[in-house]
Amino acid sequence: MTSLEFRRVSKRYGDRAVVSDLSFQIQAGERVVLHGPSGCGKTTVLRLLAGFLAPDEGAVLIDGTQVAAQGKVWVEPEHRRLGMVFQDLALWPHLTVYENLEFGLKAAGLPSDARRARIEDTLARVRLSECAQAYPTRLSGGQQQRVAVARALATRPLALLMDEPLSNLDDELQDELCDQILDLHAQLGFTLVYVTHSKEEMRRIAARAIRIGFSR
Amino acid sequence: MGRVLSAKNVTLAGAAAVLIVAGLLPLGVMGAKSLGHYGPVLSNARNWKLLANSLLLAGSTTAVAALAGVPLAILFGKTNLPFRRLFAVLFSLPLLLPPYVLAVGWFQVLGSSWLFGLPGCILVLASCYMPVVMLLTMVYLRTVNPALEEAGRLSANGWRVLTGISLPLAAPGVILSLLLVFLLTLGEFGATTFLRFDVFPVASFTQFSAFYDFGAATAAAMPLVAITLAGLLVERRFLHGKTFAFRWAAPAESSRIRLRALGPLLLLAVLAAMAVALPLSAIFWRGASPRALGDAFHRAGDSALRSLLYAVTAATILTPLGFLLSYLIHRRALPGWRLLDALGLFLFTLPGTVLGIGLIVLWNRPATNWIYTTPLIVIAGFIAQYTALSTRLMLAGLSQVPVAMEEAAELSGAGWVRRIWRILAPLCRGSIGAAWIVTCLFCLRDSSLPLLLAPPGLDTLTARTMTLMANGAPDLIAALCILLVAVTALPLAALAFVWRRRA
Amino acid sequence: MRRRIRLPVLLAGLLASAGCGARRSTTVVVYVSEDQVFSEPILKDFEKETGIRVRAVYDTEEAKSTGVMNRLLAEKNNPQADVYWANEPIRAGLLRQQGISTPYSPGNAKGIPSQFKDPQGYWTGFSARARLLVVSKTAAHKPAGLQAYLDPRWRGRAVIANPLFGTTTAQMAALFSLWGDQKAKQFLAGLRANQVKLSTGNGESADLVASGAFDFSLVDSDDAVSRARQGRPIEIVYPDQGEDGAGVFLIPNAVVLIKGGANTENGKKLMDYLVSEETERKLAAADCAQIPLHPGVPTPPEIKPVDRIKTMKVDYAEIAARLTAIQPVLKEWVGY
Repeated sequence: MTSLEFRRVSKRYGDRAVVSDLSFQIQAGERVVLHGPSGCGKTTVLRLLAGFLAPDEGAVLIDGTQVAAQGKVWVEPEHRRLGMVFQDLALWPHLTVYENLEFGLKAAGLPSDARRARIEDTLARVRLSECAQAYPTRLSGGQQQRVAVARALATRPLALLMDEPLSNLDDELQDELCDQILDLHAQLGFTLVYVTHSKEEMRRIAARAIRIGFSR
Repeated sequence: MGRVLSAKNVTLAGAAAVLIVAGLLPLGVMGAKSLGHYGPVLSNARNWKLLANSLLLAGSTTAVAALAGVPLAILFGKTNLPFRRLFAVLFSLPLLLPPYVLAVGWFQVLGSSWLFGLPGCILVLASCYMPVVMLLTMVYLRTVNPALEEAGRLSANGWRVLTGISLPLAAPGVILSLLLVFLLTLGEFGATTFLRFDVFPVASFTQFSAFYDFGAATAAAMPLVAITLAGLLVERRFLHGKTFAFRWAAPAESSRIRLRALGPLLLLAVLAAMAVALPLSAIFWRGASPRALGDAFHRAGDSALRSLLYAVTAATILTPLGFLLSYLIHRRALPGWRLLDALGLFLFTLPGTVLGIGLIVLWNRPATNWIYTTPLIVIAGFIAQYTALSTRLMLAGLSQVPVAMEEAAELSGAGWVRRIWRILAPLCRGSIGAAWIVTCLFCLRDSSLPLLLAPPGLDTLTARTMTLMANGAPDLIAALCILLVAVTALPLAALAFVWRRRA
Repeated sequence: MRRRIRLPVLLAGLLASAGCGARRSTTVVVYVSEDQVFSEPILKDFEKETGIRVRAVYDTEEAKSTGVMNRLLAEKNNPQADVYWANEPIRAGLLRQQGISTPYSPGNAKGIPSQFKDPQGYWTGFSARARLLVVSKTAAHKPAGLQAYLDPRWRGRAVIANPLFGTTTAQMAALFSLWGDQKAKQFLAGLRANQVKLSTGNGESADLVASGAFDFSLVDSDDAVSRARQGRPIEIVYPDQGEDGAGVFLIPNAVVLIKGGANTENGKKLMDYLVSEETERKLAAADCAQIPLHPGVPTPPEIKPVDRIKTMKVDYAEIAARLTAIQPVLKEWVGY
């Protein structure tokens, strides 16, 4: 079954075309790496998928439903059932790790017991159970990285979007986290869309690679 | 750590000296006069009653300003409301008028006696200071990293993201604005006197006007200053460790909230609009006849020009001064930095009359006639009163720039002056502009310092408006209000022009 | 490019022009407590007629017209003003006590009754306000004098402005001077006992009576005249006009020469101008409706000419002296 789809999508910023007539399909549960040179629009593709942007032309589909087309967002981000790990992680500094995970679950209307169970389970999966009450700024780079992943997965999304998540970490940590992401993927079965310009990460993560080229 | 007489230390010490000469010396003069008057002030039962009144008024005004200002800030800063920028400007207009002028304007428009007493005071002062909350909240909402909001949007709607993420992150700005409103209300007595509600500053004022007792007046001002400093301590404690790395960014379009989702907020905003915009537009309606405007211009055109000149000069001095002092405080570059910060805030909350008399006694001597008999004395007053404002605003900007930026420049061999000029100042552009415009506006709307200090025949528009208000025709006063607003628009336009050219 | 140069030049020019304002022979510096709306046109006329530039500092109602007084006192050691145009002669006495004023008797004031001039020339009075009773047309009884304040018929029905400020302070000092301490203090106590309402100023007093909320109040003649001209339901009563009545308390404007001013000669010219019949005529015709003190100058239609009013015979110098002495009494009475 097709999970995520771009149909002839174009996006311009002012008069600069960032994405031009791009089409692809990603199957449910698939692991896909988007790659290409810097500034080629990889992040824009993720933002179009997430619903932060609307395509100027073409359509974005999730599970076969058109979620955005022709300059309009039809389905708001919170209804797309996606998780995302941002390049600079975007952890909320005023909330504890626990609260960072809880935010989306509260919004989804989960009762407090269910939230607690879900958060504890998710934190255990990324081996951060002991950090639940810490503020993210107190954690190490690798730990923050795992909080970001845990937050994105806490709502059990259909797909996880990751925007160069490991670019600021050293090689050893990158290795470790790659393994962890693959583990989580195996456990939870979400669709993974992974943006990177690193050959090494691409080799390890990708079951399939989609190249985003300059489109001028 | 470098020579004692380095360019850095000399410059910073110079900046500190400016504040000390402009503010501490006149304060010392008044402080010396006040000794021996504290007993009677503190033992007077009526004063305590007045103090309670003041706190009640300041607290209620702050609450009302918050209830109106924060929703409006959200409406204009975070939604897709059409013409939201225009609305933000319109709602800021009351801030440009001295509260006394506003109170009289309201009375002339409404002409009814229900305005008198505590509710009227709250209404007038809240409408006057609501823009402080609105503008600061908008500014701080803008500094929230858009990615933080987008991360929330993946699992929650815009409203939830706003209340759970954006607003808590903007809390330091909201709290700062509430503190400012509280303090500004606490020191107000012109509007409250007109609206017949007795507040504590009247105690100090009475000493001046009924007894010409400068010492007792100063002593009577001190409890207010004490409350102010207590408020600042609370603020500091509350915000301790809660300042996050902000950055200026274009607000994320994805985090804009659709208006449909905001029924109750909209209702509140409409109410605020009625409370603020109706009386104000009535004032403008009244004064907008060509004849009244012509009369106002004829009687006060020269004062308007001087107002602008004084305010622009003062702001142009206050901005680099605030920058240097904020650097000094942020980097703890000289011993006594904490005292300088406290001195600035102390001066900010001191009643203008107390400061003004101190400046007269200090500078009115033949040797310093070149200061006292020229507009320099007004500018000295503005510097003493408003340094804290520019320092605090710059401090907010400076703390957003990683120290590493300066260290990197240092390692590459740049001297201190070059580091400041080429690295820090450009990085703090936003807050430099903000400090300039905010101090400029505060100087423009100030009336108590110009009334006391402006040399004969060289008054400001606020002073002229207030002197013409004694038995002046309502149309003329309304027209003067319009002139006041128009004059204020000029520096705003200048800044907008500069920013647009840079961008 | 041109625009860039203009503004700084303009700014510098303005700052500089402020600095060289001290060219002695052509200017005069005057501090004014009379409302700017009424005083400025007079000063402009003086400029036009004499070519002497007037640099003025005006007062605000917000500060109860005491701002320039504060300034005069604070500037004592290096006076900036040449002339003080006060809206009452009492503060002139305070200035004399403090050694801030110096004597000068303007020749133009010859026609003004000596009662309204300081014998040594420390101040000269002109155009006066009268302290009148403004009475509501709906009042059941009409008061005839100040004793009505103590009359149980008006219990809780009378208003008086806060005696710590303005002309009411002067009136109290006049009563202390006229009656002596004991009777005056009894009067104050009587006001309290008869539940007299304390207002923040004469304007408020007049409004409270005009709205019918109270029966009468002692106010300044200009407050009474303005309400009458607005067609409010009030009438004006000249208090204590009977045979043994004390008469109406008149409060003239006063000009004072400041000791050590830089333009004393021009200051004297201005003082002569201000106390002239011509100035009195203008102030009578203006909205402030002030009562001319020169005989024969036309009086505003709502007000009786000064020679048809029984006026209170008081010594303004003594009132000034009393003013300081009774402050603690008034302060205690008001509750400060």
